[in-house]
Amino acid sequence: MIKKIKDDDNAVSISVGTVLMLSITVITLVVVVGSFYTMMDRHERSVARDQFEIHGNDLALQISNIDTAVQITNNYGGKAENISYQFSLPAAIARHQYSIELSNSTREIIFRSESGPETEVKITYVTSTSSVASNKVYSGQDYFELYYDANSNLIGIR
Amino acid sequence: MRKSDDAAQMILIASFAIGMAVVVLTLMLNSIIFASNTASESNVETNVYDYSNTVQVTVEAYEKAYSYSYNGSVNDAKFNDYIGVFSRKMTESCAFCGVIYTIEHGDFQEPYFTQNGLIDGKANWTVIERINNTDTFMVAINSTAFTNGTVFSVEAFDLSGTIWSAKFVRSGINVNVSVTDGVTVLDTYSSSSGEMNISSNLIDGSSFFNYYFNDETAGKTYSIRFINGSATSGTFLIAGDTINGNQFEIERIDVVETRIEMVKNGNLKMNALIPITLPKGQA
Repeated sequence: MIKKIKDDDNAVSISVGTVLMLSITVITLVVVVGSFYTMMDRHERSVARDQFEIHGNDLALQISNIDTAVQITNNYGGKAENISYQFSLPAAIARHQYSIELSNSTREIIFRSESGPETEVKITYVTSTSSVASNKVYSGQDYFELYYDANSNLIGIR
Repeated sequence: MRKSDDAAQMILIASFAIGMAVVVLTLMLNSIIFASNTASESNVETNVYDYSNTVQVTVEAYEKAYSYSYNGSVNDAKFNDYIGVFSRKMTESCAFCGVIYTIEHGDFQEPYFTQNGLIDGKANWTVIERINNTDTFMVAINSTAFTNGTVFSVEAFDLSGTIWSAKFVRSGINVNVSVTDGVTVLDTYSSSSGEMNISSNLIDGSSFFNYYFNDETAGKTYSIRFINGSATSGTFLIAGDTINGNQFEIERIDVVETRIEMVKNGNLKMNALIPITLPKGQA
């Protein structure tokens, strides 16, 4: 009986065998390609986070720079009337639009992408002379501006 | 015949495996290219020290222009010439580093005894710290600018507190002075001109008045501060030695408000109004 099964080459017909092989190949391909998509997706999110960190650190550094300039001016007994820094950011990072929020209470720059909460990045900034006005801006503007308002002694973004 | 058929199948399987490897590699490479392409460049201004340097250079240029044009009073034409040349040179040299530099200044004003010389400046401030000898100490108070009912005082203090002070109060067109050792009043005087030479014990030009400043501060390490400097305007000169042996001289005759404007690479703009006390307002 056992011998019979082993020797039996005709368990499936050639046509059924072909269909079976084809379907197994298709399923395997779908799984392989799908796993690549998942990998790409994860990669995209990590790229977005990296990008936000780069831009966030730039902003944090520039906020500190403006704060230092205010401090230098104050040391001379002067008044910083207007300090502004214009910069541009890409309209979309990793195919998604995003928002930049300055938070005065937590002293953080928060980047949020529309792709979801996994890409949220928070970067701490430091100021000593002035404070930061809480505000939120969205990507897609031609340029952004960090500005210092002498009357309120606040650094803001617009 | 049968054996070579098997070998051909092995080649087929091997080529399939190689094909798969190429696909995987291509996908991986593609994702790396994707990552590097989306990385945007940083274009941040990394420092503000050039701003600090520019402000310092400008302040020094004003001090030099003042001493160059001062002969009893400031020669405005000479002063403006000097600043004009300075401004042109600064604009030229800044242009090479992508900075547009502009300065403009207002009129000379009589300085208040505040830190920056303006009426809204810091009223209580330390003029010079840690000195052990004062060669010259002269104050000229403008009694007409003196706010009635306010007290302006100059104090010498060390770790134990105030060791000497002179309090100035307006009395009509006169300025009343009362000198203390920090606790008890040592002497008083009503000055008609407001001009006091504290280190030489002279008042109103050549009248003698003992300020006890030299006696009270002799052999001590002390600092000098102004209290309520916004009460009146006037000029002063303090010169002497700090404890590390360096000489210092602080002299104020005028204050001028200067606007410094810098635009760097078109995207960083700074605009500050800096009062400069002349001829040498800071130690």
